Amino acid sequence: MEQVLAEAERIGWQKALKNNLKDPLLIQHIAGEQRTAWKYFFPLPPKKSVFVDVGSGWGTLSFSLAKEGFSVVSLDYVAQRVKFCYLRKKQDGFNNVFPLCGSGLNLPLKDSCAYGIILNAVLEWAGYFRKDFSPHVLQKKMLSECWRVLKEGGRVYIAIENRTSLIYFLGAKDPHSGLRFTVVLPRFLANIYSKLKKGVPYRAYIYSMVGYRNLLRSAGFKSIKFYASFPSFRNFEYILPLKNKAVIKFFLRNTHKTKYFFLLKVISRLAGFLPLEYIFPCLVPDYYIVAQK
Amino acid sequence: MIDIGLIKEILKRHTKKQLDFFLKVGKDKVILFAFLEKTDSPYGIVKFSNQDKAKLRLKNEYAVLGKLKNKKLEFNTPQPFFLTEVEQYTITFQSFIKGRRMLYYLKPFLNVNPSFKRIKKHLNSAVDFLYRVNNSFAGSDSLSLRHNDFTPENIILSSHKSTGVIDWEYSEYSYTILDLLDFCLTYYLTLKFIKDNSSGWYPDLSSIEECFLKSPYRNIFFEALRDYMKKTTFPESKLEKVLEIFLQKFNKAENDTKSVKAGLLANLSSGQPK
Repeated sequence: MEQVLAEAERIGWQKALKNNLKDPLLIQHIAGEQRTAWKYFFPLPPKKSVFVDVGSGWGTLSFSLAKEGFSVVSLDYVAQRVKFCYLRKKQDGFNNVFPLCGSGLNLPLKDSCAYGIILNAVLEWAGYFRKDFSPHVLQKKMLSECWRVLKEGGRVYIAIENRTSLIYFLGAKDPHSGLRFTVVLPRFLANIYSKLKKGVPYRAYIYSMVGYRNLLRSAGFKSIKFYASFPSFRNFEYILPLKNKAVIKFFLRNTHKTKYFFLLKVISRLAGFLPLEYIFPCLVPDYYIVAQK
Repeated sequence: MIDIGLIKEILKRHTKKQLDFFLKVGKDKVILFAFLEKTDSPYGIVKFSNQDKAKLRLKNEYAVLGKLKNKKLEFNTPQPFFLTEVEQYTITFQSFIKGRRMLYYLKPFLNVNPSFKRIKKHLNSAVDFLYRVNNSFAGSDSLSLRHNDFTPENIILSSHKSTGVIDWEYSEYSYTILDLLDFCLTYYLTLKFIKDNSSGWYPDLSSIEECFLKSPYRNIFFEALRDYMKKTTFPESKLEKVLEIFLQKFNKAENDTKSVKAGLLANLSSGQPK
């Protein structure tokens, strides 16, 4: 990161990324627009409204929203990433991006000042910011902070994994702890397992659809809508609303790719006569959640 | 800035009904499948982009779909509903064609003989379709309308009959036979990618060589190509030029194409396959 920053200052952030990151997909991930296409699918506030991008990382979402005319507070806990966003802002001439260093547990913003808050792969990490409270309490605090900062009618946009996703039952690794089955195990067992295997407690809690709904309601949010992204929210190709069964059925019956061709074909056939669209929302890998204050 | 609220508003003016969507992200455009309430297949497809190249392609597709509609051909193509520009975005709305993509019906490398039958069936559909396009848009010098992205992903079949062709964004005035060459190549590559469980194709000169000169399907491909040439009375004198265009498209590394071209020419010229 230090190397990228030093070069970014000297030769520009894009060239610095190209020189230091070997994976072209990662560069595309940071600098490309594809990952930010969710902005077309969710209701957005009027132009020039204030957005807060919590855990903005390399600034992909922040700068994409800034391009559309929003004022974006780009907040990250890691000072180097904030510096990177600052360089990106300076070099690309964005006057409507404001990189800030801070945590989502204590947003450095006044009450009711933003129309939108983005928590893209952030809420699950709340448990790592402080050790004196349970992850659940810290996640609730983070959402309460979002509620405080949002204007009436403002929305929080969350991208996060689904605890009851089929992939975790089939043995996929938890992307946070790097361990298999920690997601689906009861928390106390996952904690013991993580301490034994990795020597650290398990604090990256993710939830089921019901769990997220309860968490958001307890923080004061209403009108909570769930969407699924495929293959994952990090590199999605599809986003679909989970309340519309007809859309889900169509998606299941008509998505064909050369990769996982036979699996998709089996799903497609099964969806023809089994009501898969009813259990599908509980089994998807990730959720996009949009909740209103 | 366009968001789902604005798109819903624009579409409501056209359909007078409430729509629901799911989103597909393309390389430089976004596609929304628009569903009317309580229907199980989309009513239409919204495509939009703010990238200059993609915007031109969307406009081109809209114009071509209009021409295809006027020709009243015996195959399905999307009906163009409207094209509009909002801020820096170009938005098009077109009808959805029911059916399944040809990709779904592919059966690669499992059982060779039935596969061959299926491949022949698919190729016949393609030849039939391209023959009609060629005839309807035929201009001077053997030029006609070329789809330019004629792959199994863009052909919609219903009960294994060719019922529609979608994604006309890249279409241009050129040699329609190039679509058949594209089809053979991408058909073969699709089978290969399914077998390898991989995605995304990057055809190059070696893929062309592999498909047309080494694959077990080469004779079927050449048979279809010769059949098409016969049907459309495509002059053999144009073959070299057509192959040059075809090879140039996939020859990103600018390798020597002489031997591949000679191989293709030898098989396509009247005579027995080599």
